[in-house]
Amino acid sequence: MRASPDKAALRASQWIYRRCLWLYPRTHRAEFGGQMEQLFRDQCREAWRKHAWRGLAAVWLRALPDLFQTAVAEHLSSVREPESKPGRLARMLKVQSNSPTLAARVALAAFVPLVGVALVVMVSFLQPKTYTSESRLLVRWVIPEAPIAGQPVNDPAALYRINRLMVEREIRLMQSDTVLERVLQRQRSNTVESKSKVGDGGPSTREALARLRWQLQVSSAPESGIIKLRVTSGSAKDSARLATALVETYLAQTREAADPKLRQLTSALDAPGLKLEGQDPKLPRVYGVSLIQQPTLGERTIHPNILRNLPPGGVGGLLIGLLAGGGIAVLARRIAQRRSSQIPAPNLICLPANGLRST
Amino acid sequence: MPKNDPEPNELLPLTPAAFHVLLALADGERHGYAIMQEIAEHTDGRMKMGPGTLYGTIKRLLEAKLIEESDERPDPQLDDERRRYYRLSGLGEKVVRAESQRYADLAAVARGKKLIGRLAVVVQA
Repeated sequence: MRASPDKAALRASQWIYRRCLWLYPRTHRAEFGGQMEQLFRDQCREAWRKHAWRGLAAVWLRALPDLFQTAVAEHLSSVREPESKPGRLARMLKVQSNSPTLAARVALAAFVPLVGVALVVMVSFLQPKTYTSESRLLVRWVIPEAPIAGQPVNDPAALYRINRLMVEREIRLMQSDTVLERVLQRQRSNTVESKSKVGDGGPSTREALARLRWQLQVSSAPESGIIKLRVTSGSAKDSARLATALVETYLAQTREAADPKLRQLTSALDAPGLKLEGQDPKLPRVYGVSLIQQPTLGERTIHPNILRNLPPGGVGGLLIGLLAGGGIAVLARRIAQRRSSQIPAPNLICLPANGLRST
Repeated sequence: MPKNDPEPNELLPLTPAAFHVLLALADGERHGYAIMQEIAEHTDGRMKMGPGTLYGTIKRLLEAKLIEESDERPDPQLDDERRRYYRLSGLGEKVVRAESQRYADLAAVARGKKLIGRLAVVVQA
């Protein structure tokens, strides 16, 4: 036999509310859960008798905010440390008339930003020093008479696309396994007796390659043929040395790629499996790449762990601290108002606090 | 009253929820739903307490010993045995009186400032 719609609705409401009671702390649920469920059921029955679905919806609209607010309040109450009896009674029942003093507010406002500044400075100084060496290359090409890769050469938009394709191909080539492995080989041969940062027999080739990729950053300047290469390392000399090795290896590679005979020779010398990546056979190499800026000595630290970077770091920390402090203060004030039953002035006139709802 | 109990004035002013519950219990013991109905009635239906607020307040009033659970049932045949009834304790009665007096004093001040009207005395024949 199927239940009537009203009974089914009431039963479903009661079932859902019973599940929602799990939001309360276990002790509160054990002591009052049954009564709360019973009270909710009585409310639902009365509302249904008077206004059917509309009444039931109104009960839920009142019950849900009440449920979430009081569940949070009970959890906060359950984790609070025990107090002396008079203090506890006063807190539980009394409207606290004494708001935080001005001194307390000033102390809080000063303390939180200071913590923010201290954290920023501490994190900055804990970071290891890193240096970046930068180099620039220019992709130069001559506009041929014949179409390139199906693109007409008299169309500016097509020329722009071809230029972009060429730059992208060079960037891929610069980051290819072929070039990077040659850089590793060069590093190993140059630093047989000294301990190299990159692949000195410790890490495997794959790990060394991954590390090298992490150190390398290649990008292109917009709407130009300029390629920017940055290499990061723990010392200024290492970063410059590595950047030089990369640039020289890459340029040698491009020369080999441009000369078919040389290319055939080097591919025979290369280890099996090494492939020249980044080469698009549809796009002929009708251009050359030249170095326009030698790798610089990496003197620029990229973390603010030097004294001159402290003021901007401090200002940043201050702003973060102020934002965090403001957020915490607003949150703490709201929780304190709710917990101390302090009624905001407008609520004294129209709506009493603490869950009493106006219908 | 035991010596450890606080003075009624120490607990004032009460939260509106606590005051409404104490007022509802001022003229006899009631269970939760009856307390809620009583509050709705003496506020002309403008205020309704949710179960969470009501039993949160009851819990704190029990802890503060302003109310206590009653073992007696008005009529077990007519009522659900699972319902729990609450009544004012001695301290609770003093506190609700003190709070009512505080409100009365405030009302007198407001009346003196002509913010609210004077009480009308109705004499029934």
